Formats: sequence, C-alpha cells, structure tokens
Amino acid sequence: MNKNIFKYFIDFLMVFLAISLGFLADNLRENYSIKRDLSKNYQSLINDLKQDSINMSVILSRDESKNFESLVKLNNLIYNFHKKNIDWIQMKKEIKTLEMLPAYGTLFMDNSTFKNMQSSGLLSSIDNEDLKNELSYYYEVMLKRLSDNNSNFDKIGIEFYNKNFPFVSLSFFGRFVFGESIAKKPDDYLDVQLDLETSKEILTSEKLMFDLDAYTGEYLFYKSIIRGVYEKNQNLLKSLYLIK
Amino acid sequence: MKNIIKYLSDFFMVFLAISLGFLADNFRENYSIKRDLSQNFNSLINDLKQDSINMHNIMLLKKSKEFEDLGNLNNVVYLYHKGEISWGQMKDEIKTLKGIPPYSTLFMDNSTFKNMQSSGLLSYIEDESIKNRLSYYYEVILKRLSDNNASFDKVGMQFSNKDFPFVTLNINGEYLKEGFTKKADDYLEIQLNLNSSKKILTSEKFMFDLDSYTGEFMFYNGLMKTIMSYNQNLLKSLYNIQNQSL
Repeated sequence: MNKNIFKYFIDFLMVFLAISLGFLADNLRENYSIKRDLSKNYQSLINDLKQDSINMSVILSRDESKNFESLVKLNNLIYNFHKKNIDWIQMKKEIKTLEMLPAYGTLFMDNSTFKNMQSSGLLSSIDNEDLKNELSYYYEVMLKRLSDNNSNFDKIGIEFYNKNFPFVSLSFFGRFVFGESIAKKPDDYLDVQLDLETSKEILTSEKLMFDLDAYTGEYLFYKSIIRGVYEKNQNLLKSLYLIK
Repeated sequence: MKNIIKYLSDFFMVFLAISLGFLADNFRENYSIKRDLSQNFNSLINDLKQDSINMHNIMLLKKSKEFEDLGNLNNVVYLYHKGEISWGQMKDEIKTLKGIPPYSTLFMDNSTFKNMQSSGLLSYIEDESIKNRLSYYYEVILKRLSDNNASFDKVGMQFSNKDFPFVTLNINGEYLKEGFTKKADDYLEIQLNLNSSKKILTSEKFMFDLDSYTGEFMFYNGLMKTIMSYNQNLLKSLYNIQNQSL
C-alpha cells in the first residue's frame, strides 16, 4: 500500500514538474518575445520622434528667415505710419520691398507607434516608469495641446491672409500663383493692387495694427509651444537611446 | 536505479510533449501573423490605389477648362483695375467662361492602417522604412490634409456663395442644367446686367477674394502633388514586398 502511494506520488510529482517546466519555458519565450517587441517599438518610437524633431526644426528655423524679417518690418511700418513718422506713399514703397510673410505652418506629430503600443498592451510592459510617464505625457498631453493650438493658429492665419492682409504676392500663396501656370500673376500685380483705394484702406486702417499684432503674437506663441515640445522630444530621444 | 531512469524518462516525455505543443502553437501564431500581414498589405495597396485615383481626379482640375477660366477671370479682374478694359468688356469676357474649378477635397481611406494599429500588427512589419513611411502617410500627412480640407472648404464656400455668387459659373451650376429648377439659357446674361453684379465684379474687394480662392486652390493642388509622391512610393514598396513573398 505504502509502496503504491509512494509510486503515485512520484508519478504525480514528475508530471507536475514536467508541466510546470513546460509553462516556465513558454513563459521565458513570451518574455523574450515581449522584450523583442519592445525593442522594435523603441526603434520605431525613435524614428517617429526623429521625424517630429526634423519637422519642428523647420518651423523653428523660420525665425532666422527673410520671411520673419518681413513680418517684423511690416510691424514697424504700421507702427511708424500710425506714429506719423511716415506717410502712405513711403509705406507703400516699403511694402513693395517686402519678401513673403511667414506661413502659419503647423506641426503634426506621428504617434502611430505609441498608439500601436497602447492598443497591443505593450505599454504596460515598459519597466522604466519615468519613460512610460514621459511617453504618455508627450503623446497624450502635449499632442492634444498642440492639436488645439494648431486649430487656433490655422484660424488666425486663414483670417489674416484671406481677409486682414489679403495680398497674395506677400503671402505664402505667392509662390504658387507666381509659378508657371495659366493662372500666373503678372509681374506688376502687387504694384497695381497697392494703387487701389481698398489697399490703402486696409493698410492704413487702425484695425490692421491689431490684426497684425494678433497674427504676430499667435505666430510667436506657437513657436514657443514648438520649443516646449522640442525640448520634451529631445529628452525622450535621449532616454530611448540610453535604453537601446 | 531502474525506477529513477523510468521516472526521468516519463518526466522528459511529458516535458517534451508540452514544449512541442507550445512550439507548434508558436509556429501557428507566426504563420497566422505573416498571413494577416500579407492580407493587410493587399488591403493597404487597395486603399492607396483608391487614394491615388481620387488624387489624380483632383489634380486633373489643373488641366481643365475650368482652371483655364480661373486664370482668365484673374486676368480680366486685373486688367479692369489696371484701367485697360471697361465694365462692358469685362462682362463680355465673363460670359464666355465655362465656370471656375470646384473646391474638391481628398478624403483618404485609412481603415486598413487603423485596423493594423489597433490589432498591434504594425509592430510585426520587419521593414522599418515601410513602417515609418506608413505611419508618416497615415498619421502626419492625413492630419495635415484634414486641416487643409477644412481651410479649403471654408475659403471655397465663402467664395462660391458670397464673393462670386454666380451659380451658373460655380460648382452648383452643374445641377441647374436639368430638371424643374433648370435655369434659363440667358440666366447669366440677365444676372450680369444687374447692378449688384457690376458692384461685385468691379469691386476692389473681389480682386482680393479671387486671389484668396486662387491661392488656396493652387496651394491645395501643390499639397496633392506632395501626397501623390508619398502615395506612389508606398505603393511601389508594398508591391515589392508582396512580389517577394510570392
């Protein structure tokens, strides 16, 4: 009797051990596979962040462009006109020398890898809590803030270039309507347009001073947002490079 | 001793059987992922092909008579304000126009990409370059397009309904050629003889409004060209992958 019980016990133990070890082996394989997937996703995150940072650099470099100089110059002209330092004729002459004003280009972040990690549950497998928090903050909070600011900037930009300062030769549309096509504008287009009474009304109006302030303010504010996002982006990139 | 060997061999048999079971399941899973990826690549190709057909139709507008007429309208307005033609001549020129190009926008089909994203299948794409380009196309470019669709719609609606409200010359004109609401043949002529028409078309404001619409139209067309080049690159890469797996 005792011998039989011992034999059954040993049989049970062997089967139990074999099954447990089998599960353990599968568990190890699964862990390896999660680590491999995480590593792949980190690489994709790095690529997404790198692409974001390139796009941000393009927007940030506009400060140094001729277009930005033109925006500052236009602000000065309007100020000097309303301070009576210059008259309409002088102002018109100066406006003719302006380059295109900066466009209201907005940033669209690529969050596909993050969304993929989120929906596949891979996000919870990240051991580094700081990195997990930084990632969620970047892709959940900052992206939403950016989307909101994109809408605001677009709204003000459309209003500015289509209604408040509708000089196509001086807006970013200029490079499209002066390019080779049937709708190409003549070279003296801005001259003819500036001689119109409406142009004088628009450019010498007090309203433009406020509209230009609104656009310039929004332009600079948007850039400060981009700088904030860029900083976070670079921190995340550093952390991910360290992990990799 | 004999018993120990028997127990050990029992242990290895069960361990091997279970491990092989897991291995077989793993192979099945890998095969199923590869099959799903291949199916999704095919769906992506179909989505991208549909996008490219829609883009092509929008880009064709730049070769249309309507686009030529937009150029003519711009020119007529410019000449009028330069003092080179009179209202009478301007009116005659406008009567010869067929219509101005509509503010057609593109809506991209991203259902396969969303499906891949939510099922986590995106991380199984081995080619990093394709993965990056797919996410850029469907996450960055699609959002930029949606924003530009909204802008173009806003400017287009304002232009067609308020700034240049000549129904026979805009997108709605197509619908007023037949049926109970068919407009009379001389409708445009009667309308152009109205004082309001003269006021609208000879106003300096109209010159700026037309610039806005033309600029937005050309800008949107430029955007289409950029998206088209991304679309074609992606299609090429996906065709290559599918051909390799055959």
